[in-house]
Amino acid sequence: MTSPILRARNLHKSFGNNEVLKGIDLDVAPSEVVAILGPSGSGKSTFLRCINRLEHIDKGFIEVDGEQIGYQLKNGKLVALPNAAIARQRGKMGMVFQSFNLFPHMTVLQNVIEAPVGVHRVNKAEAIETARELIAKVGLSEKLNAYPGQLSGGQQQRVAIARALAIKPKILLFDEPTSALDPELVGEVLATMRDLASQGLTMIVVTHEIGFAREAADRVVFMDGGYVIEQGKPEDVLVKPQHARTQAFLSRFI
Amino acid sequence: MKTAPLPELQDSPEDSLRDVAGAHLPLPKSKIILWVIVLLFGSDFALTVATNKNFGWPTVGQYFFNETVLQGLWVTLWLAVVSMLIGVVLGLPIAIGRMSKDPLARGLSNAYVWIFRGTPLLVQLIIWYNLSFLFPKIALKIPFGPSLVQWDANALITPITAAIIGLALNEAAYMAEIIRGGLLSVPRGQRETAEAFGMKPMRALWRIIIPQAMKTIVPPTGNQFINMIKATSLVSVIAMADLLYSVQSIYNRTFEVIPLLMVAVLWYLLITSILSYAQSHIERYYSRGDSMHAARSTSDDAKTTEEDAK
Ligand SMILES: Nc1ncnc2c1ncn2[C@@H]1O[C@H](COP(=O)(O)OP(=O)(O)OP(=O)(O)O)[C@@H](O)[C@H]1O
Ligand SMILES: [Mg+2]
Repeated sequence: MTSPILRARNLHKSFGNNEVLKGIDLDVAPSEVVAILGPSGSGKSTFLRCINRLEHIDKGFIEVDGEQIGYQLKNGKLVALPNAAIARQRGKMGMVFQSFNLFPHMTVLQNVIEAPVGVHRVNKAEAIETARELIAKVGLSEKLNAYPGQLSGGQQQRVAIARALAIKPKILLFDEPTSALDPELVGEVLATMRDLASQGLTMIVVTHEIGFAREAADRVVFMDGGYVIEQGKPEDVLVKPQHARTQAFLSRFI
Repeated sequence: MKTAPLPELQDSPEDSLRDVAGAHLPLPKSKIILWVIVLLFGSDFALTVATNKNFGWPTVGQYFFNETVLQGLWVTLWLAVVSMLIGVVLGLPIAIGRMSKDPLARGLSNAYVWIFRGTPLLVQLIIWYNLSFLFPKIALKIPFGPSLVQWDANALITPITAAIIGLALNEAAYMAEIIRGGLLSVPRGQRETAEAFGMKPMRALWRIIIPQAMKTIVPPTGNQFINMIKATSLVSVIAMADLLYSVQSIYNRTFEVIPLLMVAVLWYLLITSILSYAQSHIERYYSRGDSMHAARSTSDDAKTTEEDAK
């Protein structure tokens, strides 16, 4: 068996007295698409943000591509990494946010080449070449020089996906990528993501789109109250959930 | 499949006249009346000022390009530009310091702003100018230990250095607050996104945060610069020959006080007008991502990206 891209062990995270993650264990294999479901406030976003260290964890550890995030073992002692090293680790992960978070002062093309050129030191002409391909892939070739403010929500989110792909990430993290979209725009973004899933990208997708989880995910993880309560193949977890909380949550979507 | 027939459109004989494309604007009577009143009063006032002998317009014309005046103008301009530049460059780290989690950085920058914003500029200038009275020797030394290098304060502090130090350090305190406001105006998600993509904090600041903060920073900065142009006239108290000092030196000789002050006033107005014009262009540049302005600027930017590619 190949070694996992992501390993999270006994992850704990509190905000003040509010313990949000109470011991998460999760492995994600290369090319696996994992959908995370769960009620609001169950800690799904917090978990994703811990993976690329937008939040610091209190206990446990996370490993991505064989490297521990934020720390390093030195002669049996665990020491915190400096900012530059953490930045380099983050460069292996692409993130797509619920609110798109495109850089509003940059055009679509500039948004997509910013990290490859500025962080990964890719040659600019090469980066533009790749960016054009990615932007074409999400169907926005005519919008290359448009500013985010001129695009619809669905178009912005597709640009955000192209931007995340441009750094050739080992793993793609999506935090409710369609929740801020009008219903008629959800489809185009999900179609793009389905495409990526079928191309063998490793993806963790926090979503409320049960349909997407059923069709595109290899595994569904159900979180509640800071724990992973249940996980398995979509056809098992979504069709005959074992846990009462999962049943209650899913019953709202049927 | 057959659809139900649409109901017949009901036309009326006036319809051809109702097309809004051919509409006329009504004459804005009250507006026209206001215009006439303002023009009448305005032109009357202008004529009164222009024909008023006490203003001495011929004298104004005679001294407008006078060498002493132009030299003073030059001093005012470079003093304002240099002080402003130093003020902005110092203001940025102070702004960042005030937003820092580090108590030392925050404490130092807060103290800086507290002192320089809390005391009158005129007093600060006089203190800098008379520094040699407070500290006859200025030295680079180890705390409580020996001095490494030492200067004579009298030699170091000339009217020029006192003016630049005074104006720039004061400006930095105000610019720090303006820049801080600008940085705070950028949504938190922008910085998180930059960091999530592996940008180091400095790079995130330069590439993502500051360009967006500029929209908020530029208007008050233009204001500061215009204020700075006029604030340079304070340095005449420390014998620095700026524009105001120069006209004063002339009217002290010729006693043509008002005409020479008019010379200075017209020059100040001219400079600030040019600055306001420049400011509006800079503002337009930094709001290029706004959908309101976007339609106008896309064609230009399409060109720049092509050029970037080369
Ligand atoms: N920065 C923060 N400071 C304090 N509390 C926070 C912070 N971020 C999240 N929380 C708390 O952590 C808990 C989990 O939040 P999280 O955003 O991870 O939930 P979620 O599962 O993503 O919910 P949703 O489906 O609504 O997005 C919530 O109770 C929230 O109030
Ligand atoms: Mg969330």
